[in-house]
Amino acid sequence: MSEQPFAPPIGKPTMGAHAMGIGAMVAGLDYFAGYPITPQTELLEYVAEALPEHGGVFQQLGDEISSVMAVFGAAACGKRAMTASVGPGLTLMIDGLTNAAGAETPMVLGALTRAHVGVSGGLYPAQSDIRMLRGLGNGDYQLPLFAPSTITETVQLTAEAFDVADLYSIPAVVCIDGKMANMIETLQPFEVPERELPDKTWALNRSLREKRRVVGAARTPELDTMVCYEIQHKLERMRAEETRWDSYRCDDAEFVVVAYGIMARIAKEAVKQAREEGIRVGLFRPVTLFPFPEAALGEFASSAREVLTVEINFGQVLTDVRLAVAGRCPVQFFGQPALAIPARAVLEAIRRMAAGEPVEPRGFHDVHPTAFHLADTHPPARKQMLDQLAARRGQEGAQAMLDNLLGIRKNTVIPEVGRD
Amino acid sequence: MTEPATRGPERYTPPEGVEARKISPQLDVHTGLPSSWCPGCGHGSVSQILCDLVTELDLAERTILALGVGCGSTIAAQMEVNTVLSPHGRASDTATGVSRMAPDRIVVQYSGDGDACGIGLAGLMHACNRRENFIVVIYNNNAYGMTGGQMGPTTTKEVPTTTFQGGRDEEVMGYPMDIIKTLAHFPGVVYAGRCALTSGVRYREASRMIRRAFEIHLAGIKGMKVIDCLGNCNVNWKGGGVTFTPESSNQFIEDQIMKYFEMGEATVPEGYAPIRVR
Repeated sequence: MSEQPFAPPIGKPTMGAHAMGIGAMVAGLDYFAGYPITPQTELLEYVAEALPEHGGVFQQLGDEISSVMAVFGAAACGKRAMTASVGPGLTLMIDGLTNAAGAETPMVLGALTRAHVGVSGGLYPAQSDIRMLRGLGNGDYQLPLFAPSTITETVQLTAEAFDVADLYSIPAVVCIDGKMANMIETLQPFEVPERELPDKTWALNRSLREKRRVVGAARTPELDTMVCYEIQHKLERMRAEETRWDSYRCDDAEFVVVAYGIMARIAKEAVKQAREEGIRVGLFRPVTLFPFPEAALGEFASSAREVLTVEINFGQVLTDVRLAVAGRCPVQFFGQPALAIPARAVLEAIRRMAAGEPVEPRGFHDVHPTAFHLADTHPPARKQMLDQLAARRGQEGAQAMLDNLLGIRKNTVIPEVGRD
Repeated sequence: MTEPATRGPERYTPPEGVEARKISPQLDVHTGLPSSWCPGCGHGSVSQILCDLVTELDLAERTILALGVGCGSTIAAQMEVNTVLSPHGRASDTATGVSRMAPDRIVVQYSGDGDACGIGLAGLMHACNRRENFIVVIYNNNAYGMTGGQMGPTTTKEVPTTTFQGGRDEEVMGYPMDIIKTLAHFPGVVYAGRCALTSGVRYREASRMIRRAFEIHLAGIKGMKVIDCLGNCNVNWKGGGVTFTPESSNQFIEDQIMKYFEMGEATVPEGYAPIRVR
């Protein structure tokens, strides 16, 4: 629908949030609706400028629910439509996603994840929304979920997500964390494979004289039951056709580290260093978190001694890793609730695993000069934090909570704290 | 007699030896299927008005129905046009996406008062504020009909509901919302009016108002066209042991409910003579 062809800025420094917009533009985006939320705003601003220039429509609507539903309406017309949001906004968007999945309407959701339960007090990046993104809303369904780990891959997978959505008539989700959203890298040349896509004969703007088109999730109980089978059939097809993964030195690996998104590229550095130390370790990176690359990981696990899952959460993909490994070897976990885990911490975890020691599953590495660091070193800051905690939990409870966190931080595999 | 009529040119099969001559090229959007609405319900009247109008003006191919959830969404079985079904309260948002991506179509949102003024109020108000370009027809029966007659945002003090059996408790629940007064002042609303479906005369007024909304749309006047149709829910106005018949419920609207709601057009584009209402 573009008035002039869109050229991705190959070779230019590109921000992660913009990368999603670039990918969508490459795919021929027609409609984008969204509501601002950090760190998605850069994507919103990018699309607001780029989309109208190429004949599309950009709208900023009243909230996330309106945005996702307007995108559903646009997609029901057979157009390429997208929205994007962050934790609390994604929670609202679940309303529209379950509906679009039930109505078998293709669209794309950009998910930029940040830390914490409920509305976040800070804007730390994290991967703690993965579980939500994999089991969105009511009903028995899952959505294809892509987890790119570079800016170029974000562009490429966002563009491909539109094809996957069209191919299976289902919303597709691309997920990057807040750190990647704000990260800038040079955009490398990439290719989006040509696919044969089905004609959208069901679209609303087709002629009534041919036949009547009804797009929607609510039909009759009988038809809806049949659609449940149809959705499962699609998921089976996706498991067979769309499972993607990447590996680094896994072929002869005794130990396999599983990580995705931003954590995969950090873990890769740790794996490289561990290899230099003589530890036979490899990295397995699921590119699609649904469908999860179960068979491939299972194969590597069958020749491995141990598997370590590293996530910026407390184990949201761990269940899938355990199911894939299926008892072939032990699975350990290493994670923290927010902020990217530094490579040297992952390296230390690998060393422990190789030495046959248990890895402490919950660490905390405040790689930035955070309030936690201040609370540890600066008495007035410590008092302020305790006072805030005490309002809810009393003095003793507050002290116990802070001691616990600082204890975790001290006992965490690397003792020193600083910028990584 | 029981076989439903099929639509359009296929409907009439001439006797053998007689050459069929197409008199009207219009598609008939009446499905002819039995409706699932309760006897005496005004949804049937609005459905009839919309089907007649779209057929008569030959707009079948250009009309897209955007439905939320409620009794009103079963209009999909009565009116054979391309239709999008959205979750409860999301018809305005869905209609936004549809009308933006299919600007040559006439998007008609058909919602109940719960769908449009309760759960969907934010979406509807923002659509008006953004000056979206579609028609909204609200069937305002002062209750949540599909779930059995609970109080809604538009419910007036006298209407018996299952959640407030003695009528709306103003201490707890405030006052009935006048959606036309709420929306009429938005610059993005080019046509707003209220009609009722309580008698033959009222039916004709309603029919004129809905036709006018289409005419304004067809004249290329961009903006929202909102019509609130007061109607009964004679089966589900049953709180506190009070029962109604279709006749008594229509009289009840005239006597009690209309005290709260101003009838007639609130916003009309320049050059249109007002439609007189009783």
